[in-house]
Amino acid sequence: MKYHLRIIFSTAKYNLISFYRVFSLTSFALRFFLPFITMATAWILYRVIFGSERLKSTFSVYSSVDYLTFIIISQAVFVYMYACIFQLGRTFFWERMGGTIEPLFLSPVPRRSFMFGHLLFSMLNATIDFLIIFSFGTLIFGGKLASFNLSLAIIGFSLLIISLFGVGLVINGITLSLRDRTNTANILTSIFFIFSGTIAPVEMLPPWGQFIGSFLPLNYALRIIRGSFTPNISFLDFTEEILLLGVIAFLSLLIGFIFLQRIESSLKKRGELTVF
Amino acid sequence: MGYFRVVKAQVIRWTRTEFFRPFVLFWNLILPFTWGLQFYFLYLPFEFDTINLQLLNASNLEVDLLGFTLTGQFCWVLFINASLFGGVFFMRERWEGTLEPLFLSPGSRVGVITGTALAATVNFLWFSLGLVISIIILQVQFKIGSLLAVFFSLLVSFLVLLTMGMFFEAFFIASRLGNMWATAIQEPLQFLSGLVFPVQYLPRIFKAISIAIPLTYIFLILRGTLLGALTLMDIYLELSILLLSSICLFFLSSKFIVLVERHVKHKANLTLF
Repeated sequence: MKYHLRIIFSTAKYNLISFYRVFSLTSFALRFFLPFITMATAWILYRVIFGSERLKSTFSVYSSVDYLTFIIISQAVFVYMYACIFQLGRTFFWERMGGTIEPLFLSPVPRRSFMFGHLLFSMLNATIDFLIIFSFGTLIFGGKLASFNLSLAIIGFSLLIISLFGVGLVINGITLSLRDRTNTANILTSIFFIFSGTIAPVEMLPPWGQFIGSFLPLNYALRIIRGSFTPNISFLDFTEEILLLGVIAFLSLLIGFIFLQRIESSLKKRGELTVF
Repeated sequence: MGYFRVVKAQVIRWTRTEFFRPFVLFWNLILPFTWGLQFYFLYLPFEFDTINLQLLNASNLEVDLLGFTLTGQFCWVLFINASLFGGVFFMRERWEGTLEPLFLSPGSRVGVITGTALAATVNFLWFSLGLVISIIILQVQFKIGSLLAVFFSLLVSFLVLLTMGMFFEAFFIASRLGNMWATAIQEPLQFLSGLVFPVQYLPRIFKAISIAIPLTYIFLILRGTLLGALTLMDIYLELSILLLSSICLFFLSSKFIVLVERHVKHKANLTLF
């Protein structure tokens, strides 16, 4: 156990050091520009162009918070998606680019512990970004936080992180085998951004959009987390979302580990692990 | 070596090597579709029939959201191709070691950047294919008052984006951070240029910035002529500004590329990563 913890913490530590040692404008822009500009756009649509009187009445049925708070929470939570796709999901890609993938796979380091370490780093990073975006978003764009249910929020975030871990493992397998990081990441970011209820409640999307959204863990996590900011709400009001998210989390973890294992064996068999 | 000969050579070369790359297909077929959906869905929580667009002469026109989104994507993808892809091509030149021979050759430098920008816009044909299919499936209604206005709007828009691309390319050659800047400026440009909502609704300080962005006028004239039945007389101000921008950008990029080449050769860092 001590051995696994050592791997997890040392992996997270070196990632954190190297991430914050060099400032990358691309990384900063990808993490902050999209959420802030989406919040600014939503603010302009709501306060300047349409006004609250032209907000559809069904919005309050599908969302437990007001429109601006809805957008702020979604954009703040979306950083976890970014961390999953762009940081966790590119772990082995960068190991290959750095020439360390072969020594890594030859070493006795358990893959799970190694990936847990990367998960710890990316989610810690995401939490810092979440707090920044959430605070600034609320202060600048006027989010309303009537109350906060900590236990419900913890359930939402925990299940989200577990499901994103599974997604991250799958993405690692894809980037390893296809040698592509940009297209895969951008497609997944777009799908999650559009169909997870980050810009409009999933129920307001066209039927095919709702169908896609029903498979995405971020959709259920956002409902739970938004619910945690609603007064007089308990986790019993989100039993369905918690169960569904739990099932998705379990399945994504299972699929993620099996998929990555298969990809690794296949690449080793074909001698393509370090080939670009 | 002759300007037009170099332009032709660059166009043929980059089209042959890039046109069928998955990267190009992705940026021209898949991403525009997702961007369009994203911007369209932003409006879903609101009740409205049309979007109000205000021209420089303070006249207003009402356009529908679908047309607004599609025309926006049309301009945006052309901008991405012309302005950013060209720069990416030069990055590849550097990685592949052909940048130095290119700048040792006697070929016209302005021809090099013009040809590359033009080649990048050829990729736009992929998007055009997707656009035609979308128009047919979604049954988008156009309101065209003057075909001449549409023609000149498209022509001038293309010229401006081409010259913007030339300017960006010179920057990509000078800087190893071109890709990074290209990624970073996309969202601010989307916000400030009127891609997602009309710029008349921007706070004053941002409106002042949007005035300096050629894309702002491109969105206005294309939406106006394709969806608002505007004629040449209605958009002459925007067209004039764009023509002037295009001439200035061409002139600037011609001077800039000469300066860039002189600088990188002096510093001997043309091929350094």
